[in-house]
Amino acid sequence: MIFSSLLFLFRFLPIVLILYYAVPKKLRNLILLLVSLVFYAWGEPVYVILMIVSILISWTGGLAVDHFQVRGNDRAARISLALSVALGLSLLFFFKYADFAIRTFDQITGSDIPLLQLALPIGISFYTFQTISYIIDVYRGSASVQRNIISYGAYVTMFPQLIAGPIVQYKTIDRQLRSRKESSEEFAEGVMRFMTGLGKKVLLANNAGVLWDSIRGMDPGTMPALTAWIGIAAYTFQIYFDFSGYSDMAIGLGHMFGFRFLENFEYPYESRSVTEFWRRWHISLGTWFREYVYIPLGGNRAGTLKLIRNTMIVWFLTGFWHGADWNFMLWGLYYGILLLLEKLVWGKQLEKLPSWVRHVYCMVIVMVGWYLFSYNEIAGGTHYLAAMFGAGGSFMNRGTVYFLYSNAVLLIFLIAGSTSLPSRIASRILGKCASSNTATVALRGAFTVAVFLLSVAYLVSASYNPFLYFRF
Amino acid sequence: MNKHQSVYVNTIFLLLVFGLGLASLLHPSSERSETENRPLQQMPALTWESLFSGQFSEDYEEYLSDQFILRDQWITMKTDVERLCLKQDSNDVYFAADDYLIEKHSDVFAQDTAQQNIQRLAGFMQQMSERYDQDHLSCIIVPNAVDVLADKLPPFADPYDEEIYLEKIRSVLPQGVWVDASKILKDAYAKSKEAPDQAGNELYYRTDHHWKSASAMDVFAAWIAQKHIGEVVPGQFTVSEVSDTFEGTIASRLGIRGRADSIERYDPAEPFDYYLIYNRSDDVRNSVYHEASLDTRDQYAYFYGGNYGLIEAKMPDAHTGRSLLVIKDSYAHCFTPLTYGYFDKVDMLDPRYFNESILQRIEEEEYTDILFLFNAAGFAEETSIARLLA
Repeated sequence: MIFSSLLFLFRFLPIVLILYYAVPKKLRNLILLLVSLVFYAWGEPVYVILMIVSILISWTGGLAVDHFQVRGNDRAARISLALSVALGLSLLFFFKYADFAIRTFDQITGSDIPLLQLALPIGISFYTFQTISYIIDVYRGSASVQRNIISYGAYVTMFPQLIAGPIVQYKTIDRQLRSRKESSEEFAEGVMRFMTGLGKKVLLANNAGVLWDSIRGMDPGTMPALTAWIGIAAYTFQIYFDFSGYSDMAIGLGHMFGFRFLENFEYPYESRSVTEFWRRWHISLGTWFREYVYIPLGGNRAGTLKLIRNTMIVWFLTGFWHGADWNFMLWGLYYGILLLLEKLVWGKQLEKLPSWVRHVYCMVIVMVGWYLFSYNEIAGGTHYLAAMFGAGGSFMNRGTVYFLYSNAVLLIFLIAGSTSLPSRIASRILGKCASSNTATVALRGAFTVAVFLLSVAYLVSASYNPFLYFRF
Repeated sequence: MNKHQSVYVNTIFLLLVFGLGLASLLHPSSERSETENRPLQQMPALTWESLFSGQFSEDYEEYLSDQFILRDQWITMKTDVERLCLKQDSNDVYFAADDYLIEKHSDVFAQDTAQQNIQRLAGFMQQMSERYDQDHLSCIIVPNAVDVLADKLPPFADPYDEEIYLEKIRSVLPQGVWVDASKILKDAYAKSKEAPDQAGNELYYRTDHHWKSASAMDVFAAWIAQKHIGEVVPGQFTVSEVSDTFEGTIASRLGIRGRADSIERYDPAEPFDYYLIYNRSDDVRNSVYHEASLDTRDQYAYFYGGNYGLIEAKMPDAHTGRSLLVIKDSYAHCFTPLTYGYFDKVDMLDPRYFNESILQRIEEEEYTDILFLFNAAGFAEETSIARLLA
């Protein structure tokens, strides 16, 4: 099930709200677990079993790690840790990467092993990472073991973040799982946050996607450079509003049930370097790789060679996590190399350049990155990249002008919406008014209602409503 | 936000979610949408099988969207907002000048089917040209509104140039078979702009993907002249308007109300007897015109009552010694009736619905004339064209 659907808004959510707030506090985790299983099973009636298996493995693993540590048997604790992490990862590998491995093996050896043709279980990359973070945190002592399978199950399956993140580390909501306080204020903040995300997804991402679709299907052999850039810009906006909209909805829903998830995006397209971009984009994934891969490998404290090795490992894995295909690996390595270059070669000089130059530098890299990322969806393949740099033979034509002016309003919303400009303007207009000023709340409320109604209108007539991050 | 304010916010939110949720639950399902001209999804039956295959959830979501309360109004709201945002097209339809809704069709010509169909048609026509000379074998591919009415499109709109595709077809056909409908219609359009206020000079429907009867008449007159079948003289046909409330398939697809179109029919000034046999069954009719269709959304079905695999027309008193086979799509529906005065027998065959061998039919019926008539975009994407050679 996806948030931006009539089913979620007008069937699932109302029922869940009634159930959740009708039961006493100590049963609320159970309700969350049950409704989350329904939420998942709605579209994946079979794979829900896989998720339950994954939960049981990591929960048992956590118990075992704790059991041995309490008895001072560190070796056994280590083995339990390794075993349950390996089990979790092998499920992920099998369902997500097996066909890719077989295809590659067939190509290299010329053999003919048939593909398994398994559909990718939705959200497996996200929930597997959450279960791994839990066991490691228990082993490290940064989180206490969760003996209650219901609470633990609620953590892994929690429907707001189940299928597209943010990747919630167990230690950040450990206490909230045991006791949290829902309140009217928090609920209202959650409502507004959710609606912001809904609008980002339905009104901005989907429409940017329509523009991208009309360009990516064109013949790049004769595509003017500007058209190619408009296309990749549309994709750049689509993926941001799609994914950050999803995170907003997840965070908003979390608030409605008394949870506080960490932020996942911080206006990444305002960045002025690649390093800064990755501090602001998909923060929960970056944090995960830093804590569970980069730092355990020695991070940057063991000399330049180790730094290069560790960075490339992390970015290879980051790319591979996004999809079982070469272009995702290439995309990961591309960022690994650029981050190293900024760290070791031109980072210092970059900082001396005017701010707008750094911004252009960063965005060109990011957009070329999204080209690599979306490679499999582009009709012209590598010719598209060539068209971006003038191989189409012209800078612009009639069609370019048409794309620009007929999408002018959309583009303005996309550009402004991906920066902190709207919130800065709002705070200037409202001046020193406190956030509890009646006018402020009324304005935000009216805005929220308008976004909601408009989103419903788009959903009712929608033929175009994919979630990009479902593939991961 | 303080507690007091948050209560207001939450109340509004809950009212909207529960209110719309309940309303969509309680309001009765409709069988079909008149605006969109299609049956709507009903509440799916719940079985173990449908549940585990995921079919139930898929159907249920479609049901929810199809039966959502005030569905038409939501869709109109979306289209209005798009227009406000200066969007010039929606769902591959241009919002063109004079309230025309014009389909883009840009994608279909790039598909493999479009190129394959040229070869298939060429193969068929080569085979036919062994038996039929150029006065008895014709191919009319009608360009779409997006091409003929190009000057009505939004500024800088840059759709595919159908001329390129038509030229590709023309170049592979046997000599003299091609009838240049594009030139005929573009000339007619240029002439119509000189007298813009004259009624009946619209070439395509504003809200539907078909051409209007006047266009069919122009192409018909040019065709019989080119093939030496005859000549249309002034007064030979009388025009009458049969509807002025037609809102066609393009308006349906956008879910909006367009500016209604009129439908005209051309009758011979001197009527003659004919009867029609539908699909070789006992469905025999005395008129091409299906009055009941004017009371439905799809008024274009006024011509012949819609699409059928084979409609045979017999003119018992004609004694011309000629018989015609029209292989066609629905563009032919306002064209074929015009031919009835020139043949003893006219068969109209739609390869999309005719499931037997077309070549064998031609063999058996010994037609004196063959006409292939499709619209350009429809021809480019029609997979059943392969059946011409089957």
